[in-house]
Amino acid sequence: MYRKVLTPNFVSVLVFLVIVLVVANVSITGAKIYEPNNKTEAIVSGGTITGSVRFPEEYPDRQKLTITKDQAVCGAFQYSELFVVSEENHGLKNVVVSLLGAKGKKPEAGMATLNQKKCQYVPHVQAVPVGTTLEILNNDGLLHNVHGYLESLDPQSTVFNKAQPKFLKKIKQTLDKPGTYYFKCDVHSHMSAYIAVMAHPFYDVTDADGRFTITNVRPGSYTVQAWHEELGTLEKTVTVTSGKTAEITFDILPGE
Amino acid sequence: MKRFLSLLTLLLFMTNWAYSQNNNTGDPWRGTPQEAFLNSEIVATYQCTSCHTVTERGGTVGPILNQIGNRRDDVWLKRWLADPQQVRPGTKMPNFDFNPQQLETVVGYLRSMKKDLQTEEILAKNIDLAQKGELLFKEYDCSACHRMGSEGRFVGPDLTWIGSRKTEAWEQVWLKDPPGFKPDTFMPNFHIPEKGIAALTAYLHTQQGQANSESQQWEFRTNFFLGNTDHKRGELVFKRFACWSCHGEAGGGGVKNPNMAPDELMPALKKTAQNYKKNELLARLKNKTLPKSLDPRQPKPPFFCPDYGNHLDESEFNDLYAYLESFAPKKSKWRFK
Repeated sequence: MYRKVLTPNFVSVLVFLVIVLVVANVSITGAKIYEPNNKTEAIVSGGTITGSVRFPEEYPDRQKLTITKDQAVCGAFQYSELFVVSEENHGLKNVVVSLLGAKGKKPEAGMATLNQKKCQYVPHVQAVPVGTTLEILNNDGLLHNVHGYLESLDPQSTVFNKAQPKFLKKIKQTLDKPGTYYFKCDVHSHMSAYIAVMAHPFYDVTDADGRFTITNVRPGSYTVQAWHEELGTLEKTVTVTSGKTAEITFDILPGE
Repeated sequence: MKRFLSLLTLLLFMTNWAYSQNNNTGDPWRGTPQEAFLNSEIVATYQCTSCHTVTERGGTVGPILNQIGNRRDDVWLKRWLADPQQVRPGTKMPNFDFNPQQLETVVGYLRSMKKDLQTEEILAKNIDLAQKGELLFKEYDCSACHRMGSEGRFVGPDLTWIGSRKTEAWEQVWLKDPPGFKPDTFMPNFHIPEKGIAALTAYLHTQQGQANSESQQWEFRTNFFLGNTDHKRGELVFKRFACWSCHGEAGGGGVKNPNMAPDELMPALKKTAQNYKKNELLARLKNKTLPKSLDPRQPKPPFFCPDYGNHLDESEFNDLYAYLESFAPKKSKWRFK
């Protein structure tokens, strides 16, 4: 009796431990890979640029996307990732903020993940160093195709278009050109994702509060660019001083 | 017990009979290569029917495959399946990474999915030329790729209004040998006999929107007037008249332009409303616009924008203009400071 109860528990604890170890290891190596600067630059003591992208008092509601195909897996609708706005501070998620024309140690390319979960790309927006190997996961148990474009959804901008049939849980794709990759699934036309591929280490993607932080920036004057899939780009200039934090805000206004 | 047994035999007999009846009068695809393909392991694994229709089942993204064997040969099929982007850059068809053995299997199925074409029989019928053309249109399964009214796919141009935008002479030259006319076209040579081409051309040339069925027209009108903004209605005009078949989806351009040098694309319509005054643009749309010939010694450019003045009324033109206006860069309700 005692053994019967204990054995599965023991196994699951073991499995849990292994998972924890693996995840911890991955995140540690991940941190190492994405650490943008080498030690000498840290000694120079760079500055930090931080801030937010935000809507005014009035902001758009989260849109609903109607789904007409494979509803058993995808559901009847999904919430759009286009405008994900914080109720507290009206910050906008999924904006790529980067320094334009910055020179820094070329970031070491590692791995990144694009998951297809219930016919939705996760994450919707991310930024990675150039040369990153993207692991594209499919646990939906149905056919997706991963149609990658560079800079626009014009068919002529296609970089690759790979099928990911239901049995193929993982495919790999190297992102070897700097710029913004657009992802679409032609089987499920509501799916979209964006990956900003960076040639330098000075970038961030805004979090759920619309905040970003770029660290270890050599003192000087810079142009900071915010990019959003629908709003396009906005540039601002900022001066970074050694050991200090410069704060900037990108404001969104009603159109026209 | 005896009674039970006889009842059972009767029941068995009846189900058997019902089954055979069903077998005789039911699914016309039963036992065909198309059905074999549908039931194949390839389709079960790779879900080709997510995008392709076979025997009336499947998605609407790619061409209908019922008669793929009539229009593509092994060499083409292998080249296509091995790397679709190489054959048609930008295509929605992904690379499935088939190994040589799988490739052979898939091509085997596709090759067998064909029809014994009754071209001569149709041409020998005692009906008028355009009617023969209509039958040939079905016989060659043109709607596998082309839209006609509410039928067919959107792989090639929408043909609902073809009669008002192409000359008969052009259609004849085109149908004779599409890749000969335009080497990078996706449309294969169907090797249609001369008389068949004449019939198809006669049929196509009569197509000026009437393939949109009555109910579709009505649905269109209802959508048109019920609570839509000008530019939303304009979008319906744009779709209904298949403007996209030359100017790209949502006026995005990107369609190859055979009037020009081989790699020239149709310009996007994004700046139309900025570059033309309203009157100027509407005048252009109402009358047939012939593009300027770059080389006067060459034959006249084959593509032109039809005279929509005969097909649209004033309010439709206004809405179309509103739609073109909406292409101006700032589409979002929101903008950066």
